[in-house]
Amino acid sequence: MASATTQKHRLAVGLGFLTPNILGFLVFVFFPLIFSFVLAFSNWDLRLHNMFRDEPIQFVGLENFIRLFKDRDFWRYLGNTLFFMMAIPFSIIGSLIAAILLNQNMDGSSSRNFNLLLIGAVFIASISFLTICGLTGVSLTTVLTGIAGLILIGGVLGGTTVYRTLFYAPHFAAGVATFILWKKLYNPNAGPINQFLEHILDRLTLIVRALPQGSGTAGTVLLALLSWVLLFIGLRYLRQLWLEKEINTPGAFVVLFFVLLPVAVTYSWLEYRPVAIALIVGTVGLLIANGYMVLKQWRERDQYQHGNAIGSALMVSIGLMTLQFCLLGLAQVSYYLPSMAEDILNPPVWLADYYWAKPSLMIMGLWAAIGSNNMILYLAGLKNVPVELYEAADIDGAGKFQKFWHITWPQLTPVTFFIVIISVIGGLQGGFEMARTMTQGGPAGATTTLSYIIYNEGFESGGLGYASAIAWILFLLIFLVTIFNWKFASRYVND
Amino acid sequence: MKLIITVSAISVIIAFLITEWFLHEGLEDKPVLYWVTDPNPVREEQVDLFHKWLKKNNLPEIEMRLDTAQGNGQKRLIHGVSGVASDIISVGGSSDVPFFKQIGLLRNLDQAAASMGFDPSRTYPAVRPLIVNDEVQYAFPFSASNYYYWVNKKTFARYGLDPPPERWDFDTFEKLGKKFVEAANPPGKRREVFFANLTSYMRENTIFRRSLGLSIFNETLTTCILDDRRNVEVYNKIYKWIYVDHLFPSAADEASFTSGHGYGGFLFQLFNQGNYGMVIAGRWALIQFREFESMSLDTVEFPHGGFPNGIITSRCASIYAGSKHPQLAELFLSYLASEDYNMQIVDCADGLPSNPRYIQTDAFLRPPKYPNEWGIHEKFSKRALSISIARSVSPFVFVPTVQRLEKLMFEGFLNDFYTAEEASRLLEEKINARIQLNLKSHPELRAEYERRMVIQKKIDERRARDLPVPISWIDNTFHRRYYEAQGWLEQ
Repeated sequence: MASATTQKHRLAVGLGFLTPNILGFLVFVFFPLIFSFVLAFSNWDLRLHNMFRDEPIQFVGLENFIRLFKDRDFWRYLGNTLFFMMAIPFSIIGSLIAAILLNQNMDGSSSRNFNLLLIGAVFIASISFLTICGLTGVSLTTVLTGIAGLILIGGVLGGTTVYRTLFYAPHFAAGVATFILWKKLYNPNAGPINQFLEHILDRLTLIVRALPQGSGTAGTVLLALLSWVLLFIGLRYLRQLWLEKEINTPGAFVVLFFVLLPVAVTYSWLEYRPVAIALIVGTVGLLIANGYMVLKQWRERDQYQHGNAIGSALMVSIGLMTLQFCLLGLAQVSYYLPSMAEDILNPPVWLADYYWAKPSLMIMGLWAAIGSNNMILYLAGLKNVPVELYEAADIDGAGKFQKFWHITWPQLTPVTFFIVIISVIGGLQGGFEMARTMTQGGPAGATTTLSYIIYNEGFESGGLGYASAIAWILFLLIFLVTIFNWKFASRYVND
Repeated sequence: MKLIITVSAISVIIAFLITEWFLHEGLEDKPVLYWVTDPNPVREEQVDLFHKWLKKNNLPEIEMRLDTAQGNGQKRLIHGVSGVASDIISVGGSSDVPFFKQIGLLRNLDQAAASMGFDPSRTYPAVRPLIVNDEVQYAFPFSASNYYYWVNKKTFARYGLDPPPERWDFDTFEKLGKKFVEAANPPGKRREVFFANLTSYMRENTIFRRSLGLSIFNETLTTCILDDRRNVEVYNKIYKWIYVDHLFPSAADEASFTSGHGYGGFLFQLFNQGNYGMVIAGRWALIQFREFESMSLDTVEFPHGGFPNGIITSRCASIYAGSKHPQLAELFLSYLASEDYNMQIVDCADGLPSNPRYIQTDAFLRPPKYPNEWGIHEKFSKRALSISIARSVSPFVFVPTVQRLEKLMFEGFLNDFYTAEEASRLLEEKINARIQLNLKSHPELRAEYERRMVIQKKIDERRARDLPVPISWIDNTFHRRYYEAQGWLEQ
């Protein structure tokens, strides 16, 4: 056993090594943090106080916060921030799929390798031929096709490492450079996305024109019905969790809010009123039926709390909410499609359109998020899943999906939990670089997020006190969401 | 690992030493002045000329270095309040001077300007409000710019049309514009040729509503007054010209153009190619136009609704309050007022020379190397002294905030989010709310605000009775000129 002197010596050495880091943390993180907290309650304005002006700073109590809550634009930009976060479930699913794919053994059979090599070679040869003959219309499409060919060949020759590197590439590529690249991709006329969409939409125009009358409305009904089915599944899942005491009653109401939100919102904008009314009636019907079943099974409800699945319930409900929004949005599109197809269906103008600007940035964010650290974390998580579990499942005759659902997904829950927390924090803080580079927060404020407005208030008008107040509200929001996740979802993870 | 750390450490030390060697002022045998400005290709020449001018006038040697990477507003602000800004700061007259002055970043130039010959009398009367704030001079222009339409005569000729007249009203503009886009864009194909570009919305909005007699602020700059039928008319007109008549490109049309490069961005390349019949820019656009093969150019005014006008702006040089060499920096401003510098502006066409004396010279009016430009320079110089007016800037609200709010509301209107009436009303509400907020957080402005409010009341009373008002009551640059033109000023 080491003597007290030795221990003190070790402590001193340890602290010596830690000192630079601690000092860095204190100077560059802790002190600015406290300072900005104090600023949030002051009227600090660059016009009053800087190295050339020394007007007394006044503490204004909660004035900055009151002004913030009264500002309608703040709520709008908070809404924008939350809207962007709807991409998180998709990005997590995308990362997981990418990780599963990259976890596969790529040393395929020689026939598969040969096929991939052949496809790659055909791509490159055709592009080279077109380039030599001067027949390439859009250079970006040419480059992309060439790259696709190279990737296929590289994958066969280099194996999994090549694909993993390529998937991770968006993460180490400089942000602004990728934003500019995406701006080119989104070019309404010359961008490859719209070039591709134009062909599809031309065909779609012809198809829609050929459809019998009433098809658009039928599509609306069908999509609304699908959304209603999702709602049904969501409510049943929720009821089950509640009955099994996996979630408590207040938690159930929170989840219920997310599940019901799409129908409530859609009612105001779905143009085909019979479907909108039917959706509301159907939803009320579902609620009554579920309420009846809850009352009926009240006594059957487990006596003891089994676990706390609120994190999982929230994930599922937010995912369902996003899917419902997508379906109901498509329902609206389907309603208008026949009249739109009377003219030519045009692809969206992406960043230049108020309603498309947000989804455009979300799609780009999704692309970046799929091949990000999330994918690496999932890859590491997948490596840690015990092989014996899969062997046992094989013996039991489980299929691929069953193995995923009952082994892989539960085993990855701690990783998912971590990713959710990091993604939510990133989502609430994010959006600034993208918006600043690609849209300047427009059009008409469609892509302005809270982080963007902090920058504007701080460095456009010099209101550092007010900007700090917004930053702290953002922090509070992040903190509450994280605490919520930690309190409920972590228990679920441990269970 | 040890090797990596050692190599990294050595690399950092070497990089540090190299940086010190090349950039550290202490290693120079003469003082170093830094000038943060825009990445204009002629700045290098201007710096070289400054070095020569110093020598020619037996003045102390100074090493001047350009910093064109930190020119945006936020960077200048952050560097300024952190004490590390450049000695000479380029400022946009209308917005930067009032803001930077309030923060305390700018040095008072009154004394030096008077003794060294760069006082406001050495530049255009219309530029004076841009460099003088609260009767104190904080800047001197290194060029002035009045923005008008450049016309590519070849593009008009291509479609068998005559170039537009120099002065035109809204109806003529619309009529000729429709004719142009109809001739230039074959039916059934995507529109790729437009009558004119649409710059930052503020410029057109400002000029068009001014032409109807409306400014963003009232006469004393105390209140935004855009909730007015004339603003609604301007908004609706621009909307129609974008989405119905297609005279201007929509945001989507603009995004569809593949970008080019060069000074002024891709706009001038498109103008040269014929995608735009006209583009809005100052005389400085010639820096890029001269790079193209002999263009056939002309310039015309903005269309008007009764009061023809344009905007004059100015890139100015201010001295940073924290400069280590303020006296030497003053020499640079003195150089900006010199004949050598002004003649360099005349030659390179970087806007109008800061001193209006030089716009009367033959070298300016008829540059020997560019006979295709004869007649054009004269138009710019005449307008600078007649219809060009500086922006109306209220001391009670920031220009960038006003611009951001108008962009937000106007884009909301263009995206069918608001009607023109709603956008005008909301914009007025938002700007006035900002004014009140500013007054609350800066009580020192209150007394001046109250004083002006009293005067405003008097102006309103007099105007209601159709009586003239003294010019000293009016602070708004536009109203001063408008009242004069209408004969509403007291003799």
